[in-house]
Amino acid sequence: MLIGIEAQQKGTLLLGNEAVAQGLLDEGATYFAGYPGTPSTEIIEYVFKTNKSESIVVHWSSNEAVAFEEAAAAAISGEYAVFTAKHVGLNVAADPFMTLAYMGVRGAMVICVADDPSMHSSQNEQDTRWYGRLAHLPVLEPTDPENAYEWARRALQLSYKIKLPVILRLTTRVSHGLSSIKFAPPISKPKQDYTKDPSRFVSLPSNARKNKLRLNKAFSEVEEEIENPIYYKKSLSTPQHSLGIISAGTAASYCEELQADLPFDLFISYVTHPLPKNALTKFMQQHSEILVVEELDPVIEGDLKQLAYERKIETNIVGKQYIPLNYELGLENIENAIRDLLGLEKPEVIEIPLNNSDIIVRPPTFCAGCPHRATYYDLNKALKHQDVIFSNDIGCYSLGALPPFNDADSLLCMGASIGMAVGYSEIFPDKTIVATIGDSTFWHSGVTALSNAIWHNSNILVVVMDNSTTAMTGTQENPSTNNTLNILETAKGMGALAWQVNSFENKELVQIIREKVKLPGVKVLVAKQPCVIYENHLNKEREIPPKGVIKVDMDKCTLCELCVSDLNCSALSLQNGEIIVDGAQCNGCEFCATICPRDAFSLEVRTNE
Amino acid sequence: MNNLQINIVGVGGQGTISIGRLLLQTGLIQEYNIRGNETHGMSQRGGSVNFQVRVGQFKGVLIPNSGADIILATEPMEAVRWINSLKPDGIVISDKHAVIPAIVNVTKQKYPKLEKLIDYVRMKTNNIILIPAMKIARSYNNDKAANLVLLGALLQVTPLFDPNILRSLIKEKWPRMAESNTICFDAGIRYVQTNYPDYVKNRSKLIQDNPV
Ligand code: SF4
Ligand code: SF4
Repeated sequence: MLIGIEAQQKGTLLLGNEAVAQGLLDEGATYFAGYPGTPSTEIIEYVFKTNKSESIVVHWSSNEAVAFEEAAAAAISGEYAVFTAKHVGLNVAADPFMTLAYMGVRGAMVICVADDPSMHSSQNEQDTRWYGRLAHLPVLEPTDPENAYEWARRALQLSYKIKLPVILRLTTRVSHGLSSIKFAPPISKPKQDYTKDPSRFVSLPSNARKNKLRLNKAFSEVEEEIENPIYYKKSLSTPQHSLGIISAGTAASYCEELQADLPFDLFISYVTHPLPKNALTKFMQQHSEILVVEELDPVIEGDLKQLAYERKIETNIVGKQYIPLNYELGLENIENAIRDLLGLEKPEVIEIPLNNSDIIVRPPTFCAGCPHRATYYDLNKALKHQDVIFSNDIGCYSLGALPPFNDADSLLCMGASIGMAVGYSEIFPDKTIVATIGDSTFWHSGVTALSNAIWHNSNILVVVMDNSTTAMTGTQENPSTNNTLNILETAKGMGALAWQVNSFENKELVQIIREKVKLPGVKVLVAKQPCVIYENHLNKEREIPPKGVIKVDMDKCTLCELCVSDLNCSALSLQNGEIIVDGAQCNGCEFCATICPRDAFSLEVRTNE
Repeated sequence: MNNLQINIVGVGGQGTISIGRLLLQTGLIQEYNIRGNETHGMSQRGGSVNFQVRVGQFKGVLIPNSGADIILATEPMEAVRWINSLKPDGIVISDKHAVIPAIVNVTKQKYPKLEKLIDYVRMKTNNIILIPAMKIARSYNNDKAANLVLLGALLQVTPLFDPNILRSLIKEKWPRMAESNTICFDAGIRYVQTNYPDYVKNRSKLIQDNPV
């Protein structure tokens, strides 16, 4: 979680996301709102860390829809607003998003959405560029972290000029790529007074019909605007090659690199909706063969084929026939596609086959000392003899889906654990239905699902693993942070039976689960204990020393393996008939000591460091 | 200008991001054209992670298959997992210290012997530099600096990065651990000088072979 270490000479080392944030700040952005989600999180984190101005609002919001609404209010009031989310986050904000397009903005608004091709940290790899087409909004795309700064600024400029929100579409390799970023002088946004304009901003049908025409008109202005050569980059050789490649986003950065070795001309469009039709028409007319290189869906390809048909352009357009449809692209698969198309020999690559039994997969695991691990351990002990359906959710606790816990029958999207639990309870009245959800996800969308469950008096147990932070994305704050909002009281107030237990109180937790799980109606159990990463971080700030490291007394240990197999703490392993503690990992939570039937563990307080 | 691609691989939490960032920062100060890419999100939780460093006339942030000149591994099984990212006859620098995935306690799989892992690497290259980095760091009572031992080792294999700049960046980044961390870094340098002198002698060659 390092940010921009200043360099003396040549720019500043930044993540693409940080470059975006700096660009937006330098262009005069005044309101930032978002919900954390990989790979988008560092945009707002950077603003939190670097911004000293009182006049700039920065919020993590409860979910993407409300974040979008906050930013929308700012943008229609004349502010320069920024919304950030991961790709699936825009689904949550899709409702306000679609109608704000009709209203447009009075200041400016940039919708920063980071897609995750290959699903490094996501449940799908949907292509946000479709959203631009759905809402009739422009989509801008940097190609690498280096030009992310510039395109963030241009996105705000364009939005202010045409009075529409603008989508800045990022992908994992732009967001989490690093480069040296050079800043341009900052400017302030133009001042605007607020005047009421209900005929535009109150979306009653009569106004919406007028707004639709307004949107059409603004969009045709965008189409004109983006024919300006700043929005694309052409590199043509003389004489021209017969192959022309049209590309955008990360894929374009690889094409640029490959141009040194392969014979083709290149057109990079930094706007992928709408496309600069006139410039592209000319480029297509100059080449007998066009290859569209884009990551994920054939969005540009479809538009170009339509354009060629309408304008009777005589060229052969290919794309997904050669370029993979799924997962992120890399230099090698683009190079192979170009060589295939040109009938050139492909470089020979020796792939060493790796045997799975030697090179063991290393899935992510809970951190050593993570309270979620303790909660899943307790759940499995308490419900051992029951027929359970586990409805899981999105966060660090999703890892409970993996061995040794295997506590997930399904995991769909944010907040779905409780919504789906209601469905399961209707279909399987004889089974035990358990929803597992974290605090941030509870406030994000679990709380509405809980109202539904209580309303329908569903027989479900909701286990909220409240660690007071949005941990998966790197410990951002949420309504539970600093106990600002209280999940136990909320659940009680809504009418559920509810209890709260310290996640490390093994006996109490197991007992409550066993006793209460069969009661009728909605039961909410809040397992509370801070995320160990978050706590370590706070302790460091407050100069509180670490708790210590656990020690094993092998004379007492009978090798029952509860701690290594059933709990599976990543700081513990069984090597040559001995339990070994990895001192660098152990966080001294003492949960292993709590469950050890032989009392073989004891905490040794750390002295060095 | 020369080019160099390094794939830094390891296990979430071992400090691969830290050393990757230090290298990029050094490159930036030395006015190289740099690109990097880091892992965020899910796999950071004890999963397999990597950090890619590209120095030279590159645009993209990812190293292609068989494109890395060097794999710098903070864990030996991870060196093998990423072996297909290495150029034929590229260099592998790895800690000998194994981090056994907790999952083997459940699946009862056996973590392979170091020799077995090296056999895999040999299918791609004989340039293997093994460093007891964790052991060295431990001997200075500074487990967390095993990554810096490896960083020191790397600097003996390529002349591209100025060790003095790195030393001052290390001190700046961890002011409280400044002394112990630089000791570990220097120990990495010394280890390669003593045990793999040929690489130190030939280190400019790696760069000359790679003109842009
Ligand atoms: S980051 Fe926090 S919540 Fe996530 S696995 Fe680690 S300790 Fe658990
Ligand atoms: S005290 Fe035990 S359970 Fe807790 S982190 Fe250390 S080894 Fe793991």
